[in-house]
Amino acid sequence: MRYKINDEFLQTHMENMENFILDSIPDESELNHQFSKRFLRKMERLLKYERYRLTKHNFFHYAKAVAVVIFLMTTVFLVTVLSVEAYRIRFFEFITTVWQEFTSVTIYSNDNVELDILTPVESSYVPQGYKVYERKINQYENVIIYIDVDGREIYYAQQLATQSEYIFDSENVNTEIMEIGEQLLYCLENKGIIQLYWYDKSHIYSMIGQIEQVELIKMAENIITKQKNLLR
Amino acid sequence: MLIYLSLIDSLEDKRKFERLYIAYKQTMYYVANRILKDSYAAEDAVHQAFLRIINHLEKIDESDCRKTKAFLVVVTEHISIDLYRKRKRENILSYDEIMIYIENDSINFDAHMDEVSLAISQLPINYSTVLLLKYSQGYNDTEIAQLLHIKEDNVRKRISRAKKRLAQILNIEETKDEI
Repeated sequence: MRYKINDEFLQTHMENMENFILDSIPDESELNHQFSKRFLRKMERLLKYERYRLTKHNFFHYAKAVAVVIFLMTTVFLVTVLSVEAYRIRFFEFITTVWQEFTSVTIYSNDNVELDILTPVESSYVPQGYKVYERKINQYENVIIYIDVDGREIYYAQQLATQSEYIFDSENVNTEIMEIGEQLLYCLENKGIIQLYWYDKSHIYSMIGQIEQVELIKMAENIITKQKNLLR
Repeated sequence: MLIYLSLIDSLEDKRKFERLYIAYKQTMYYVANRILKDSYAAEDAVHQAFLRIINHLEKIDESDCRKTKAFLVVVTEHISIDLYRKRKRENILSYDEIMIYIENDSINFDAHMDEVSLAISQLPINYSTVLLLKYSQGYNDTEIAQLLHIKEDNVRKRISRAKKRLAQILNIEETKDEI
């Protein structure tokens, strides 16, 4: 036998093979398939999900992400166009009844796009060892990602109530509703990841991290106090 | 229009996933349609391919366009074959038991290929996919298993069977040459 099929042999020849395959395909610019609206719509959703997923970094375990996407594509994709007040009620009624599955909620109101103004607020308290890793702010959301030396992250998002989107990794989570003053705080815990959600009359807040619950609550408490003072 | 997409205002701002979508969707469709010969199904295959790669973006090196393109082509081919198999009601057999070869009139492999490449082109697509991912793309068995939604054991089996099959084909050719 003239050939010895080992790793080196295969590396060389599979690369050759790859080149043959690529050479058999016309250049992208020469192809002009008109994709259907159905396909474009599905891809738009996927692109949107990917942007969302990146901001969440590793809070959604990678192995689950595909399941999340498939779930999004096939099941719940709620678009609600309601007043802020009505929306809030529906939103939390909704999420408290679907804890056990991957859940996606998208809320936006075309009517309020130009009227709603985000008032950014962030916690002065940052758990020991954490520092700001990434900060993103636009007219709809204020996102801050904190990171510690071991790469553990805390994700904080403040979003306009009428321009929000949530994808909950809510499979088999433990849920708890707490009170900080008059503010209700919705707490989800799953596999060591704590998720806190709360809202005021204009914004919805989320705080997610693989950290002691008490630390996240301290951050939330700080934000709630600040926002309360701003609204006075 | 979706809020997040409306916030993207320049090509530079677009993330890797979106850049891949813009740069390779036609190629992926071409590859899928070459196998499925059905526009609707081919679009489904492209969509599924993007779903599949969403968790492997960090391994895609955009600076090497040919490698990136080859990776997307391999994944799209695999998914298209899987869809084809399902549509033909062949899924009562395991993937390993099915010898699927891409019927492709547009490629004249024989005219350009050396003996070994020709032998590789004769491997079942499920074998050559794993070999391409491992030896040309540099993925390990675990990553290939995740990418193709098969067990690691299956990856190793396919590699082992592919090597045996390749040896068989080359031996046969050697015999022919000698004759």
